[in-house]
Amino acid sequence: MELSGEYVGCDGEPQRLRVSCEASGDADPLQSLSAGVVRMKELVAEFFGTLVEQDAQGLAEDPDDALDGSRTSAC
Amino acid sequence: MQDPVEGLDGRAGLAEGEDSQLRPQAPDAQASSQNSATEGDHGNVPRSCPQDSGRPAAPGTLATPGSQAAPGSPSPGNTVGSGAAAEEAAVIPHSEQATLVPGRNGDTASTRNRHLEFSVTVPFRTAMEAGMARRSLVANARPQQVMVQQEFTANDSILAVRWTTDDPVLFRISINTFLDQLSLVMRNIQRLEFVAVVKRGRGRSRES
Repeated sequence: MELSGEYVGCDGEPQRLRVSCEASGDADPLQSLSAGVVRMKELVAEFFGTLVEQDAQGLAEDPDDALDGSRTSAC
Repeated sequence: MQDPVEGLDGRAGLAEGEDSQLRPQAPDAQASSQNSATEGDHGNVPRSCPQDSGRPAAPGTLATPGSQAAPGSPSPGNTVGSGAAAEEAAVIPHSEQATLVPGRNGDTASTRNRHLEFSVTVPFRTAMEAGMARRSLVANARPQQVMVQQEFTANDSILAVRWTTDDPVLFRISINTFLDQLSLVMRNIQRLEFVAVVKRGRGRSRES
């Protein structure tokens, strides 16, 4: 039993997030899944936090590209 | 063993979502969507701007994509193939119809149009639980449909959700909201089970 996420960015490359939700002993499988959701939230926050920072740094480092992007958008 | 099955379910879910998206559209809208898809297929990034700018001004420009629409004939076959499974899909349509087109062409079109995609698969114990969760989450997701496109699909006991947008910040907000709501839904399912067990216990005590 696995809770999985997959991100596909502009480059088309998939990146996966996986959380195992195995129930141990008499544990309720749904309870294990709930714990997995909490863990997935942490992974998502970490993953997209890094992604947003990278985008921000990219825009800051390449102002010319940003201008080119504006021109492209204007088209 | 489960991974390949889940992967297939995820793919089927995507197809179902696309099929559901296409059904409500009028024939003219579908034709224009196909034309846009064709343009998206053949246009490189530098060329996409002139084509986009020329689209409303020159009718002749539209004629070319129309003739190129012929290679799109396999699409109906795909639609028919996923018709039955589409019954389990729920799609929140995006306000801009043009953004629906890249999904039909898979990753390549998504990359060219700079759309980002994120999907989550949640393995419930039963199809009933997955269905309950899907119905609850679809209703909660409607207010967000303006900015982020979301597709909810339940295949047997697997719930698949897919987001499409071009802003990673919106991704994070929407996905976090979904996960919060998912936790609540699962908690409610557990409570329903608890109530059911209690009622059964009371019934047995009365019988004895």
